[in-house]
Amino acid sequence: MRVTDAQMHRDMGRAIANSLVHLDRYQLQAATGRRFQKASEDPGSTVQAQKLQTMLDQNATYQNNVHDGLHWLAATEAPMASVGELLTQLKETALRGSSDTAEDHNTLAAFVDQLLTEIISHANATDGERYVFAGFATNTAPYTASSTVTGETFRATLGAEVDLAQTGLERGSVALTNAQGSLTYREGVDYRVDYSTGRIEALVGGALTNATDYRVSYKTTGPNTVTAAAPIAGDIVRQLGPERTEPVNMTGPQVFADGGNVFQIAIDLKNALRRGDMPRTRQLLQSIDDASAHVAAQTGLMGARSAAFESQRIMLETDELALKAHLSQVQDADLPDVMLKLTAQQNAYQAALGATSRMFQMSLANFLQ
Amino acid sequence: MFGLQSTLEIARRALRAQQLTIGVLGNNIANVETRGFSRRRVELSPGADIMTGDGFLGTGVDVMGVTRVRDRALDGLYREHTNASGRWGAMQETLARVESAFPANDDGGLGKSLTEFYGSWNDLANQPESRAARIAVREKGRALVDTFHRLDKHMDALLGDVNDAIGEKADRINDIAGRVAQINDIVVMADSRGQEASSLLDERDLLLDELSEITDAQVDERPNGSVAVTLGSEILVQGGTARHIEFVADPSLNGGQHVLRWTDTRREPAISGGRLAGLLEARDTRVQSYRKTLDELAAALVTETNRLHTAGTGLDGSTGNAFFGADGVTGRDISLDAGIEQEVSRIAASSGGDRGDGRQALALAQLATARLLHGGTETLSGAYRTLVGQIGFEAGQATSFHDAQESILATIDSQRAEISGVSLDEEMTNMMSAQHAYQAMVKVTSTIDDMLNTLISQM
Repeated sequence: MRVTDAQMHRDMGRAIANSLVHLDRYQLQAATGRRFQKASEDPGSTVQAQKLQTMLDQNATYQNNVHDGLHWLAATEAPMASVGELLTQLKETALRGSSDTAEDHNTLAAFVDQLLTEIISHANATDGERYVFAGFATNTAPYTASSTVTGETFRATLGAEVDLAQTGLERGSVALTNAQGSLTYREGVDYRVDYSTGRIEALVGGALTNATDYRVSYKTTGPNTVTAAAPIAGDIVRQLGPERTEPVNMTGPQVFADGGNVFQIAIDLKNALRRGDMPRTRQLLQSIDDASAHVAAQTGLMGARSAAFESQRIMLETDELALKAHLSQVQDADLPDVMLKLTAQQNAYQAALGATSRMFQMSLANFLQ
Repeated sequence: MFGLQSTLEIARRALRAQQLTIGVLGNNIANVETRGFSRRRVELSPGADIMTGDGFLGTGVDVMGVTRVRDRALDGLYREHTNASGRWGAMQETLARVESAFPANDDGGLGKSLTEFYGSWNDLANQPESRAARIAVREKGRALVDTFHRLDKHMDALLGDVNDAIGEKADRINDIAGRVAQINDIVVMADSRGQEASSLLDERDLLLDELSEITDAQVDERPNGSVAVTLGSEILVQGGTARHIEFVADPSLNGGQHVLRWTDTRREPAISGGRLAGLLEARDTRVQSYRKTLDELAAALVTETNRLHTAGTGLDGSTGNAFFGADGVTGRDISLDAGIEQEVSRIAASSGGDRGDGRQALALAQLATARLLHGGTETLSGAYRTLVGQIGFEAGQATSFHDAQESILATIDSQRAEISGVSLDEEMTNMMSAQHAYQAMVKVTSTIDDMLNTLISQM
């Protein structure tokens, strides 16, 4: 076998270049911590790593949704719990009003007014700029309270008090006209009003005629009607997993109407109290119990949802750890191993360089004179 | 009778032979690192004997000629493998450039853009009243569109460069063919005088090596020393004539695609090997198929997004808005709807029209995991991952085929160098022996001179 100079130079050059390629690969692995830098180095693992990364991104989205959902649930559950407490107070008030040792019913009724106002404000609770109980119409207050009555029709009986729809009228707010609205009558001359009980008497000798319909308008000291924005509906959901969406809200009707209209019960109660209507008060006690049980049940449901969200959160966090571990297994370089290989390759490279330099020193020419 | 004059003639021829040998050795040493150089050998043979009364006597040494030391079989083997190596080398270089646009960790890749786009819809589903969330959706939509455009431009630039490379290679084939034809003429002329035009043969071998790397040329050596080169089944070089190929735009093809063809017959040459085959396959098969996948992705994305988006209601109460421009059916044409570009409140999150209703946005976010492609078997990001895997696999395969061919080539090259290469030690040893032979022959000459002197002066 002949060995020629060009052959040796080319072979050595190739050997050094190859050695450098390996050196470069291990250096890159050590520097980036990844087993492969390009898809072509390991297409299968690249695809798997990207899939795991997408799953991790999805997982992060779901975790985000769980946190957001928990916030919504809390924003919904808190006013519901407060309404539950207010209903308990309403029941206590009704109990005190229905006992024989009657306290001042007007004071109790005024307290009911206060409770009602609070319930309404909870029903219109907001989270940021969004109304919590408004369904999808989050920009519209779900409930509107009114304390005026306009054009209520009543049939006058001369010399006798007639019940109006509401009690607790504001002094001086009453205006009385005939059915057509063309004539206005004078208080104290044509009629007399009992502001507390909401009763009106057509005075004998006044301008009113017996057994005739008149129209009366007035204001009450507290709200006398609560109107729902129609329609209140819509399940606001959060996606918690690939095939799993859960509602995070309750609509107003689900809380305040489905177990008996809480607002109407309070309005009825204060009217009954002011008129000293014991049977009605006792009847309303039952309604309060029913409504209270309903609100408690719905609050419990929200609590159960929060718990489900929490357990989903834990599951997602566990998934995340498992995915990260798997991803690391797929794409991370085994650093101690890489460092060992890198050192070995550095030695091999140095040896190749050393051998080359020594080889070039050898020639017959060095020994000829 | 064998006289002193005859011996002097032997000395003259021997001195000339050794001088020539030293000259050839010097030329070998000078070309020790010259690529394509085959070492030369002076062919010496003993002079024809003459019959004398004393028997058959030698007449010294004859110079038969100077020849190249070369193994034709190795040349054939080398060209066969440089052909395969060229093909996979060109493929590997092209695919490596494709691959650079599809990073393994997907930073800035299409997969990440898709995930972020759907993530922004999810955020909008969580706060359907928000304008800020809509701005984020539009930004992520723009980023997605940009990513498609970037990939498309990358492929365009790549195809442009591949076309340039094919054009250069076609020019190079013409140059080589022309030069080989010229050399053929000279070689045939020298051959008719019984000589070998060694350096021209070296040049021609080097050119044919290069040609074999470019394309699958078949080389056929004729008895008169010329070579015939065929490309596919058609003649490229025969004797002193060479044909031309050209690389021109063919308006009958999609977008005036450039094609290779014979200048005289205007037919396409059959090319199945070498760098040209690699470049053509990468251009016409591989990159086309990647592009088609990206176009399918873009089309499915636009169709599904718009289908859901037009069914929803925007923050401004408008309905029936497209999200992507309706013309966007390829990676090149995809764009955001002009209305969305103008006003983000046209982005629809609501199904029923209420501001707090995020159902439509959620349905759009759920496209992230919806199997929209290939008959409902693959998600968009899944299809993208498959594409990255395909590119990686094909690039990796080209690399390993190329590496395998290179290592075979290295072996053959080494074998060629073993036979045709110059060994300095060997040349110096030969030089020493030629020098000593020369010195000895001078001694013989001076001895004869002395003898003649003696004869003339003593008479």
